[in-house]
Amino acid sequence: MTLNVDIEPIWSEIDALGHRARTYLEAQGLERHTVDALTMVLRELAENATKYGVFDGGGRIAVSLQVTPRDVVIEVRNPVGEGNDEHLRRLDRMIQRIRGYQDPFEVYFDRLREVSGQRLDSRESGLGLVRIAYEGQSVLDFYVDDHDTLAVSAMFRRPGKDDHAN
Amino acid sequence: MNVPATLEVHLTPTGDAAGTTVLSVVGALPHSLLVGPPAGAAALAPSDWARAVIVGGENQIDLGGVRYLPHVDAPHRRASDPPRPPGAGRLVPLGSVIDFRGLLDKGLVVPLAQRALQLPLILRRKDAVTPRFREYTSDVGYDLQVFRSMLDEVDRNLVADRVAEPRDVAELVRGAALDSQWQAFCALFDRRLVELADLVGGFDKHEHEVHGFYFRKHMWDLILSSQFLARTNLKPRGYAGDSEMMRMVYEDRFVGPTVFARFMHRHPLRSAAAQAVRNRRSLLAGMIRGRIDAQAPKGERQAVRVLSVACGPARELGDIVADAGVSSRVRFTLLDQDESALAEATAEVEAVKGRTGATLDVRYVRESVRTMLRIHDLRGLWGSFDFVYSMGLFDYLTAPVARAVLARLYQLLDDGGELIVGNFHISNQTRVYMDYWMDWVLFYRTEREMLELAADLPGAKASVMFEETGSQLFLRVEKRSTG
Repeated sequence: MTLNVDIEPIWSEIDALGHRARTYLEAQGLERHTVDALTMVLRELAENATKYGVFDGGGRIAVSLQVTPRDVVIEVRNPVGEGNDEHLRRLDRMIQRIRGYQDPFEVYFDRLREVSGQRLDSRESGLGLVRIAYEGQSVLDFYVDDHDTLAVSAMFRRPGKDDHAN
Repeated sequence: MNVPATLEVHLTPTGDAAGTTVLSVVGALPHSLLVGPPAGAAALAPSDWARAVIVGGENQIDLGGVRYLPHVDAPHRRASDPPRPPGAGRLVPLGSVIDFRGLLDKGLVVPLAQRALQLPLILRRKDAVTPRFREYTSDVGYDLQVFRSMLDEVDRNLVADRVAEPRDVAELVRGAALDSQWQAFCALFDRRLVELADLVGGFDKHEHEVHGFYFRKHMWDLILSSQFLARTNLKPRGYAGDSEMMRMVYEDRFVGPTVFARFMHRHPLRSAAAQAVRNRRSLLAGMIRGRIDAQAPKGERQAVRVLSVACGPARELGDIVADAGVSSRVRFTLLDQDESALAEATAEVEAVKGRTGATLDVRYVRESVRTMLRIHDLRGLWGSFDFVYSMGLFDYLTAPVARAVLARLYQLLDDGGELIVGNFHISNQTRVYMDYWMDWVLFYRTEREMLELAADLPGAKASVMFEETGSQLFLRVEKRSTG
């Protein structure tokens, strides 16, 4: 089962998206805490898309939510324009770092340390992505296609499924 | 907003003294700041200041009280003497420990007190660990430390002050210890790994994470005693599976300062997964050599064009190019995101050239596969290929990304070309060892999942195969003419 939604890159759309996703996930019979976690994941991805997307040409954010007996896969796509290389490199490093540990808590704790420190700049902390991995229990990944569309995905293994079995 | 290029520290004197002294920040050590002399004023003597504020643009960070300590002008007599640090002196916070490591690149300082506030978060994690797992962890730590004590005594005896043995004698003794105790060590370790697999079988993702975290906290000094395990855990290049780890796997030797350290280094290199990495190298070399012989017999047609994606140290090149007769019939493009990996691949190519006297046509491309897909005319930029392979990449890609990368690599193949990608199989018998000891997590796949990645490729004939241990799975895709 897949839910596909297109939204405008404005904050109020994210609230509406969150409600719609929650209703959809509940209808799939997922447990309350799983629905909460996945709604958070979806909101974080949509917020990042709104914040860092390049919508000069009037592009939109495409969201897909696929529920299978084993996994839930959320994918959020947004245009990034022709430049933006540094942001994408940072995203690449961040996701590889989060994915590099068995327990995303390692990176979560590290990010908390940075957030709790005092800063001279307002650069993003990357905490949102770490929350997806740690609190949202999801495996992050991304690619950019040749239409300069960034596709960030989060894959969630449904509770009760042995993570070492197929 | 980025960190301002120029940072200053504004110092407020103690007592009733008035005025502010301004110093420029010229460097940041873990727990002190390197500063220049005050502009247009006499050099500062050692002194305490009531308050120091780092100022960068419109932002500032209050450090509280600090002590200024000027650099000591010691004569620099020996090459081994440490160089004089930059600036005129350093500022050390008083009354609190502050971590300045993130100041220059992130504009970040972290007081130790802030970190201490987060400790309960870590301490609470152990509440979710099962009693059986705690007991197991305690027993494994005990067993290995007992083994270590016995072996460390040998090492201590060899370097004891009054009876230090010559190096060749010490190595002979260590060699005997390796020969006589290695099997017993492996038996102990292997038995404990089997128990671990039984214990965590059926855990969900979160349970694996919590128990793995707990386990590594207990085993940390044992992990750090092994060069290989230390690297897989610390990930100095920001990701697991870097080219240096691959070099260790390929070399598969006893390495370390003590007998126990050598055991701890070598044991994971004897695992099925490590053997699978060595197996895939020779398997791949055989496939490429076969293609060269079939497609480009001596003196005929053009060279076989080969693309290696996430090439790492590219050790297989030495296996493929055994002599100058082969080198003229193959052309390589080596792609990796990591500059260090490409440097190691370059060194491998130079070594092959030196060994065989061959010239070798190799092009190096530094690119991440996740952003490579963005390039519009990849074929125009890199050309097309007869053989494309990627061995240590797909284990890190989720299905949507793996499908996109595979489709793009397939586009680079000419008709009749072949694409092969490796991925550890879901049944990898080293999986628990990798997850818990190595902190090295992969994205495992089944045969069906591998074939599904290629399901939409036009004109593709896809199949799967395994190497000898059965840990590593390969997807082979042949491109048939669609015209």
